[in-house]
Amino acid sequence: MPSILILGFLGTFCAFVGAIGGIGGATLLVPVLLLCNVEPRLAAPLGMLAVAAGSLAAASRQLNDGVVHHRLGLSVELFASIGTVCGALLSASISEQWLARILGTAALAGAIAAIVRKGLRNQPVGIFDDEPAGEWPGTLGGTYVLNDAVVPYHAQHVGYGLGISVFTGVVSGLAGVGGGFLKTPTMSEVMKVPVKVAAATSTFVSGITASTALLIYGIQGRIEVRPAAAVVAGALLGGFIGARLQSGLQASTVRKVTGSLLLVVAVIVIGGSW
Amino acid sequence: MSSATPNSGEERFPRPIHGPNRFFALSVWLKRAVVLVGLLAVVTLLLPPPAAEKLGLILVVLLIAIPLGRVIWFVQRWTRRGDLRFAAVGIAVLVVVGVGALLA
Repeated sequence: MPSILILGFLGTFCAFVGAIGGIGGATLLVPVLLLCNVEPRLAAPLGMLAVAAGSLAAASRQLNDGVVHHRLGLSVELFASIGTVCGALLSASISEQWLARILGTAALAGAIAAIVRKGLRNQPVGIFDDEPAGEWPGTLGGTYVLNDAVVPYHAQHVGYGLGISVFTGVVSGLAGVGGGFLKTPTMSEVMKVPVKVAAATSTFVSGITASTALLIYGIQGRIEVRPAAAVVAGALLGGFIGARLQSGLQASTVRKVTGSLLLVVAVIVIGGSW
Repeated sequence: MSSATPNSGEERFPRPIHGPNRFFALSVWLKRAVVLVGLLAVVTLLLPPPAAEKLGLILVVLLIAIPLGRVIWFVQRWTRRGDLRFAAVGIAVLVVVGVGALLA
């Protein structure tokens, strides 16, 4: 096990990039911990602790900025959870090598979609200028602030998006990862939700996923207290800084950061499968 | 009523009905939770093993409970405001989490 100081630093870094790109962070932290010779049964809970703490640290800021769409997040999470249960049941019948390739290909597709896309899909609409940003009651739409202008949006292709969420859940269940890195591109590229909203909503949803996973890891006795505390302390700092930075970044920059992170994840995962 | 002109895109969207700081209470609650979890994490690192084990357990329980508490907060809010469809989605998510824990 790495020293407490190194664990704290890793927790900070992974929660920081997780909060900016809405990819959770466990997908980055767990491979690094495995490289540091941490047992997989202990690395996975530490990854989820980083996700939970990063999500918590980012929550207040993202809530005040009106960029979290809770209705969309919970809808996606519900369908993804159903997929996760199916994936967990299927996990015994698929090889780890093929699993890694499926995971890597999904990340690569999300990365290409995020990097290739140019321009803004949603444009400011004047009548909303006096309204605070946020989600609209009873709908999967809302507004967010972009360059001091209020931009309305509405989730599109909801059926496809929720169907793909089941698939992302299956992949998460098969691989034992949170799946934030799949949920963000699903919301932004399939459901056409602004990437800042997608990333913040994914960060919120990742907290619920981590909560479920930690409950299970705790019951299985897989959480070591001191390494856990170090990762949590670091991740709180990283999540806080990441959320502050994300709120000030241009949407195109967030999209590029998310795409680049997904590309790194895809290379790590696919590279490890050969 | 909106005075949207044709092709302005304005007519595609409903008029928002919320006011400012509508999540103020939740935001304050989450800020306090961050401070509490942060303090617990630091104190857990500083204390000797027996006490650290107990505090660490509280830390993990808090990290599990806070996101679920946030979902419960929204479920009760949406239920009170008649947004029953999404309240049901929130309850369903909580049920799935519970089933996952039971299966473990």
